[in-house]
Amino acid sequence: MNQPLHLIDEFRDPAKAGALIDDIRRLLPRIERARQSPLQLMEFCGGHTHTIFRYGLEQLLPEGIELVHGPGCPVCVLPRGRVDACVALAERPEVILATFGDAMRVPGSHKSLLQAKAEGADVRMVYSPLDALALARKHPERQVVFFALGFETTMPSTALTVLAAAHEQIENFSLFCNHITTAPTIQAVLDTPGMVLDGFLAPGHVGMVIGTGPFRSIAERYRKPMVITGFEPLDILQSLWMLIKQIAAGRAEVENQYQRVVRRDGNAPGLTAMATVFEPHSTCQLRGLGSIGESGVRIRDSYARFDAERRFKVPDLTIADPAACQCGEVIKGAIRPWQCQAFGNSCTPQAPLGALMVSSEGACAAYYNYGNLPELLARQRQAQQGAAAS
Amino acid sequence: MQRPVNITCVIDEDHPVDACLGDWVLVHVGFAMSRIDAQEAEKTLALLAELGEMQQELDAMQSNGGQG
Ligand code: SF4
Repeated sequence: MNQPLHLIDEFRDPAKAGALIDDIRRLLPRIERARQSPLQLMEFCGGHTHTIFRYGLEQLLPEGIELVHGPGCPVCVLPRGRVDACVALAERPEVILATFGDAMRVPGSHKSLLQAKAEGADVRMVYSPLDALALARKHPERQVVFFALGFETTMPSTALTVLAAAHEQIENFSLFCNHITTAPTIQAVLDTPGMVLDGFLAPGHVGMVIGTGPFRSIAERYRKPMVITGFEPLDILQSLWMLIKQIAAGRAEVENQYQRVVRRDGNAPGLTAMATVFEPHSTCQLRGLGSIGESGVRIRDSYARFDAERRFKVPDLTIADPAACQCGEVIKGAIRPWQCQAFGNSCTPQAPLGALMVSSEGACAAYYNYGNLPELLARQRQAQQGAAAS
Repeated sequence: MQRPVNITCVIDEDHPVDACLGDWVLVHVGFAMSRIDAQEAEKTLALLAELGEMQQELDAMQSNGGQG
């Protein structure tokens, strides 16, 4: 059967992008709020941040719109103490720690997993949690711990892997569970004092799993328009256009731009697997956002034997970020990355101080890799001098 | 590129394993998570193409108006 690959190219078509931007430009003057100051639209998901920078979409937008980069980057919101705990697990002689690549370089308070590996810990990069399970099969004498990270997009895959381990009675496999749920995290952003947001690009891959319902309740409660968005440049521009149309018409609804992937009720087999293995956790610490009620998940008692935190003594640490680091403020969208003093100085992709500089989905890495670096650093210096002068 | 993919999340009674041959799916960390609906994709693109045409018409009307 022929693969509709041409469709991917078409979602990058400059002519269609131009039409969307022209129409946004036409609509903006009709929005009273936009005449006072630029509309603040948040892309929640780090995947969107990446597309926006990779294709330079921000530069294409008219002045009345500003994009705020949200906290939807799993390694970026991971608190330092959890990285330390993971390093401690990896350093146990019996443990093989399996992780996705982007978690390897996230700095803990002493070291990252990559540094632990260099010092002799058995850390393996995997592409899928199923690869971690395969390691457990292959090394029955070792304990394989999978560093489970991510929003609902990745939860079905880890849940199904646990179910497979249970089915095959693989006893030397466990999860170090750091999954977080999207809706409480968005609410925490909206509850942040002083936060002014006019609308959201909602994460398409999360929507693919959980459906549109959870977003609907937030949109209603906070009266903010939301558009569930795909990951190609045209997806993002179309969603911004849909948001602007909603704002112009005074609507605050959930719309689904990513119709080709996101179904109203989400993914039923995935949701069932998640509900079988995980339960909501009372609170969860997120970097920059503090503790958020009901944002974490933990492994249910019936699968307790696959929970690394119950199998091993894992230190439960709360560790403050270094003073120079302003990751929390950037995650909330309160400041732009270049406004952090460490940006480009003590914090670079080669030697990251904060997690936002590590992941390709992190806002700081996006600014550093795709932004106009000399200009950003000049702005940073100006702001510093301004602050010193006053 | 070829890779084994777990298809638990894209099969159900109406779409059994046999029906998956040739499906276009979105894969995340080794799991197929959604069957991509090519028709929906075409619909979205058609809507955007229409928007482009509308704008050309608007532009044409405005420049005509300017002359007259
Ligand atoms: S520049 Fe580095 S320290 Fe500053 S906010 Fe970004 S990642 Fe954190």
